[in-house]
Amino acid sequence: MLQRLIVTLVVVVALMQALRSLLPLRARVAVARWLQPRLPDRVIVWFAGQSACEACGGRVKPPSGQRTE
Amino acid sequence: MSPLEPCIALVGNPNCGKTALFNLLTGSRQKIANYAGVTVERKEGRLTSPAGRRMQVLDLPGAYSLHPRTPDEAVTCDYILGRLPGEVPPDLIVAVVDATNLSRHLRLVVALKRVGYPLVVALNMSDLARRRGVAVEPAALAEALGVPVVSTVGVRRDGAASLVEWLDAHFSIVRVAVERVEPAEPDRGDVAATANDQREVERVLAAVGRLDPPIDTPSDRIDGIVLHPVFGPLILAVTLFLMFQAVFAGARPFMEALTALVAMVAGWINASIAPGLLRSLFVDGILAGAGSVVVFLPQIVLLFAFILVLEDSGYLPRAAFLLDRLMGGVGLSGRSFIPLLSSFACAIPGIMATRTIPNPRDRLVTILIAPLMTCSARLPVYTLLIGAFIPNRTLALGVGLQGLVLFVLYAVGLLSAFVAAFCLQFATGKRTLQPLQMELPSYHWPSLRNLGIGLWQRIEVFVRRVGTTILALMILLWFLSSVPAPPPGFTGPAIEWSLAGRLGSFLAHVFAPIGFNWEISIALVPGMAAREVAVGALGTVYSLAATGQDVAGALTPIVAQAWSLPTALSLLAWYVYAPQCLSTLAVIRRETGGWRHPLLVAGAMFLAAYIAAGVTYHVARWWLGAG
Repeated sequence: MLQRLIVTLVVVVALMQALRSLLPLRARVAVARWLQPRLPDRVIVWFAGQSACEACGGRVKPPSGQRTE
Repeated sequence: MSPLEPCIALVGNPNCGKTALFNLLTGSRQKIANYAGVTVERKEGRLTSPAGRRMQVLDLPGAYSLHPRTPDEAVTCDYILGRLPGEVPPDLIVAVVDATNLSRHLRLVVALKRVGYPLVVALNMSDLARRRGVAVEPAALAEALGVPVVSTVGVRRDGAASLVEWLDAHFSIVRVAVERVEPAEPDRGDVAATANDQREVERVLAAVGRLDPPIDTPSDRIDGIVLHPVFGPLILAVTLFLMFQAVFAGARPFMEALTALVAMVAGWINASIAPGLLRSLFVDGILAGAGSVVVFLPQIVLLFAFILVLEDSGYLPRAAFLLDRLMGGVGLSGRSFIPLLSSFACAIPGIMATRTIPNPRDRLVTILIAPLMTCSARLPVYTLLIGAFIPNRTLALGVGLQGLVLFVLYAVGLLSAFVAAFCLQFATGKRTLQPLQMELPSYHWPSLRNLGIGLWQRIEVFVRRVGTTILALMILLWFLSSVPAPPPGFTGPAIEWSLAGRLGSFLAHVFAPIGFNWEISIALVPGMAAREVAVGALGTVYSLAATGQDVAGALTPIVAQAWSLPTALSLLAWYVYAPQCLSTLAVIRRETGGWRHPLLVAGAMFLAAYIAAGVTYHVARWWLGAG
């Protein structure tokens, strides 16, 4: 059971990482908008990068010093 | 950036050492090399002076004048002249000049003076100027020019100290300038205006008693041999040939050590975790997949070490000069050579480097053919197949057969690019004659620091790529290759029942005519993201399909056993052409402003890959009389 849980978690993170690496910015922002109510803000910032601010309607600020455009 | 932090822009002719100074000032590690056109877009960083004052520093692409001829020059000119909406103009311009070539570099300083920003001249490479006996006193030059001048040496750790000192001492002036200056429009940029500026430069040089540099420098003597019409091309061919020989032979012990390390970790996991999903994830997914790619790191490091030495020494522009005639024959100019050579590392910076090509038609053709150059992502695929199928034999004169095959693969990529450029002449219209005009920098001993930084950056990029994109794709492929589990009584390998196995069986129908089996067909799918992913995918697929074999440590012998020689040659031919890199297609879209060209590149390259692989497979079968 524990093995299945760990494997599922690893596969979900790998899926997110693959999307993050391969999707263009605009598509990433669209996915982040969809994910926003479902996942913690920190995950959204990691996933959508500098566009996190825009993706979350301005609620999540990008890390200080980063541009938002 | 705080709005109160003053902004300093580094401006100067190409290859005067702006980026080296930028790296010194900001602690950045931007790429530098001994040829013009390395920086094609603006970079920003922050300088905190010893007195604790903070300033924003901009590194701009090199420009010969304020009348741009190329897209990278336009970035600089538009920024200085305040033509970029939303950009805050600089508070101070640091005009970087090559102290060994003042008669040309000062012309831009004269033009910058007219624009009206506060200006300081950084007399860069002043150590080299002193050694050549052409140095000028900064104070005398400052008096003649009417602007402050400081000496700098961009390649020395403390080489920017006098500039930082000056900035600290004159910080109040810089701060005052925060009330922005409205830039004045430059002159008309015609021949008369340029001649006026040149006369002003000559007046300044006469005032400081500077004579023209001696004609017979060591660089000139080396060029007498390196640019010789007969010896020059011969030296170039031998240099590149030796590079590929060394890449293959020199990396072997390191690759074997890495392979042993991966096998050891796999053995340790096998001993520590009970058989099941988790162990399979680690051994078949992560180690067999990402581990199969990471063992190629030594070859990539060696290849880049050679390229960086050639870049830093100043040899690359000479190679461009030598190839100008050959490239002219296929409708390109020697200017395309450096973007194409950059594409040996990765097509993305190569495509971006085309911004230094003034002619839009030449630039487009160079962008379209750049993906045909053999990027480092192809190296793991080539090495795997050469290691598995080409015997490790030494031919005459100590030439290794494996290194020779690698050289031939690179040559085929280059030749294909030239053929494509020749054919594209008919689609894009014949070019007007454009004589090659480029700067040949002085030869330098490659700086160990630059070499170290460059290599470290490449290692970082490769390891990050393996640790993120490739690892993620391998885990997903492992998952798709493991579910659903086969029903009781299923006798074949479980992967054949899985989602990936079924997809592979379907794709095998498409690829069977060119000799690919279902394992290769599966590997091509995640390999669309990046070429080297296919090697990791083969590792995962064979690991799951194998019974009792330790794939994590040794993909090469398994491939050698499972494939025929025609299949291996066919896959090599496929990888010479296949456009399996989404990032490259995205950059072509950005640089050409639409999807038409990237789709054209992808379609044409897939077609070429399929035809080349098919022809190779059938010719090899006929030749060997086997399948």
